[in-house]
Amino acid sequence: MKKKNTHKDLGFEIPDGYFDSSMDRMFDNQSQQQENQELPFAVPAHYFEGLEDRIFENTVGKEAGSASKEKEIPFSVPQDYFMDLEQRVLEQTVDKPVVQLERHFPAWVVPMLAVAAVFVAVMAINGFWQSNSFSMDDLNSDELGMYLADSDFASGQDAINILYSDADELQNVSFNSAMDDEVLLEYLVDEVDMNLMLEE
Amino acid sequence: MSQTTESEILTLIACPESIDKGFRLLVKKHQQQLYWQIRKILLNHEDTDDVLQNVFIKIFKGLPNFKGDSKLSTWMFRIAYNESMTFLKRKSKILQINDAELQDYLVDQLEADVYFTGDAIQLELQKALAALPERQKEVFNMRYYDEIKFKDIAEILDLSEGAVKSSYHIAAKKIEAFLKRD
Repeated sequence: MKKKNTHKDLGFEIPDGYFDSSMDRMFDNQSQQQENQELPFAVPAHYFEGLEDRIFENTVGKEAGSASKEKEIPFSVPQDYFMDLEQRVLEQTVDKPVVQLERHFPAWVVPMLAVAAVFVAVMAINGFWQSNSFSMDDLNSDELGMYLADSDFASGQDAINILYSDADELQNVSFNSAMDDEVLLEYLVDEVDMNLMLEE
Repeated sequence: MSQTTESEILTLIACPESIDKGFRLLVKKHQQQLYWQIRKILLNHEDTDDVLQNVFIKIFKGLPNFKGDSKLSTWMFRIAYNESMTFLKRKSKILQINDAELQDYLVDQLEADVYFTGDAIQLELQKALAALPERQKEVFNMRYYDEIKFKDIAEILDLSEGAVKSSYHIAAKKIEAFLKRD
């Protein structure tokens, strides 16, 4: 809100904006006076240079001994370490031999192979090699029997149980693989005799 | 041999034909500086040697992509700092201890380290440094030992100058308190 320029009791008027700028003018005059007169203090030459370090030396450095001694890094390296280091670094970088992979075919084959690979991929996606559906009915029973006879599947109690699971007559029959040797020998002798008789 | 400037090295590594030569000069010029930077973090010589070689390999691989947005030395400092931090993290995992315990472990190892040449006071200072958070320790090392300007430290560590100054003074106060303890 703008201040009134006339005093309510005294009736005096003041110039426009007088109170707004009076403080600024007062400070301006004060700072001008300060500039014109030098402070009656002085500091030693180069005092501010290195002040920070001196402060630190008087705190931490004072506790830890003389600053110059403390500032030495308390580590050493093996003798000739840096001479050796440079060589080792270069051996692992710029002097490292580049291993070339042996090429077994001419360079022009690579793009050809790439084209062929794309061609094969497209054919595979389009189902070119998709096999016809398979059905157990297509299998010849003799071939299936031959397969089972040749494979281990046809032996053992588990296989018999699976193959004859729907045969009622086998429900109460137990197949025991532990056959008596004498019975087996007797069977084989009879079988051989029978074959000889047939051949004759 | 005259001292190679950073701009000369940059000129050499900018060209694929002379990148090897530039790298050789870079190794020669910066190996000790980077070694001591890493050593102050890891304390142990063998670990420092391993990390330093990895740092140079990374620098070599990264040189073709160096855009020159920052100073070369700043870029290398950053790689060295990050590699050192990664190494410490891996080591604490292997030893199954946390970061603070790892720092204690590293300082304890110093007492038996043949490559530690400090006296009891310097060992105490290392213990005080070990108790600092990583960032404060790094700032303190750079400013106190290497006398790097706050502005440059800020650029290396990607911090504001104010944050670096603040870290340094907090670190100094903590070290002072550590050394003055009973």
